[in-house]
Amino acid sequence: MSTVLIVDDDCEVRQILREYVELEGHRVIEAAGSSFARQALAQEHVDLIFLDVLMPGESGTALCHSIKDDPECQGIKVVLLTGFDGERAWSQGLRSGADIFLVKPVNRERIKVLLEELLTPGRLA
Amino acid sequence: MSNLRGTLESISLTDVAQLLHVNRKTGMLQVSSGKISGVLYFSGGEVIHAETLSARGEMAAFEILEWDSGHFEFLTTQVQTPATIRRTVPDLLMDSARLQDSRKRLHSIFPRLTAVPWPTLPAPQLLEGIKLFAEERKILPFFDGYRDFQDVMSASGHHDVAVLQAAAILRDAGRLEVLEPDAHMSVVQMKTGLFKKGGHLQLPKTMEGWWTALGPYRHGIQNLRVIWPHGPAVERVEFVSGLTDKQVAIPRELMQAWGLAEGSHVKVRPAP
Repeated sequence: MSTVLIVDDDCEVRQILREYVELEGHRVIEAAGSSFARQALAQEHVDLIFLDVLMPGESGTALCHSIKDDPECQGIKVVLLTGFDGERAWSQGLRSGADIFLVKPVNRERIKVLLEELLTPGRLA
Repeated sequence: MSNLRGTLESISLTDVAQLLHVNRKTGMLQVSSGKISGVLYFSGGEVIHAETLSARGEMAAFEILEWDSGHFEFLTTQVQTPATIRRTVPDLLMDSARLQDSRKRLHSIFPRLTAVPWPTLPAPQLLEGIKLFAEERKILPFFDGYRDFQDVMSASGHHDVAVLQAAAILRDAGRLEVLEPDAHMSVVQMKTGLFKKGGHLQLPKTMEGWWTALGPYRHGIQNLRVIWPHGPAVERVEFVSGLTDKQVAIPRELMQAWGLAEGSHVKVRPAP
């Protein structure tokens, strides 16, 4: 079982993601924004983060940069989520350092595959 | 060995490509979407080659990445194909997004690919003060006032975005008209007799008047392109009185050869 941190200011999105992640047998921590996410990261061992791009205060992209620059967070996989498609969104998402940039909506199958491939990458070796 | 498979309705190819990239996979990602299929070749997590029925290399990769329905399957295997793509997966995805944005924008400017682009200036003046890439310049000779956008794509070998981009630049400079010369006609059998031969098609004179008001056809129309479900053909045309506005008269032999019956519908437009 891995620990997954879900960071999104929209509680409905957090709830949907929590359901999909828990169905795959993982533990979930929720954070409604970047400051809560930083607290969670300081207190808990996290394996993967689902991180929304657009949030009040510090953006998901900025938080992603800090996580990827922090040696203590090495090994944490980051999936950056956005509701926007198009060149600008992709450019921002792919330059954030996230492992995966994902355009919403999400569905159970999509989350299942992401969790399988990111949390057990050796599976395909 | 098959490792990862699924439907594109559940997980997008951009997700799959990123997963293969982050896990540094080597193998073939086979994708089918309806009647079309393609393969993305991965080596160490990077796309090094792509193939579809109509394209190879980057263009094939962009084509495949746009498919949003169908199936995919990744096979871990040694890849020995020569590398035709030398950019990272994030770069490829960014350019794919750029291409899709351009496609959306250009298709909103030119919503019908059956429209015919026609430059309003001759070649030397056409490009004065306009910046076009060399590849876009190669497309211009195919804007002849007879070919529609689809014809230009197949004749020039360029994809829709390149063709429409060249057209958009000319249009923005006020040097391109977009014509819609297609007319939907009802087929009638041509009356032939001892002194009337049927080596051509007949259209009402009103059609001649309508077409010759358009730039590329102002010097007269000798040939007609006929489009029907089983294929296009070019035949000589004569404009006559006695046909109603929406009738094309076709010799019996041609109707039989083309599998057309009286009352069936065809699309016609002037041909060079």
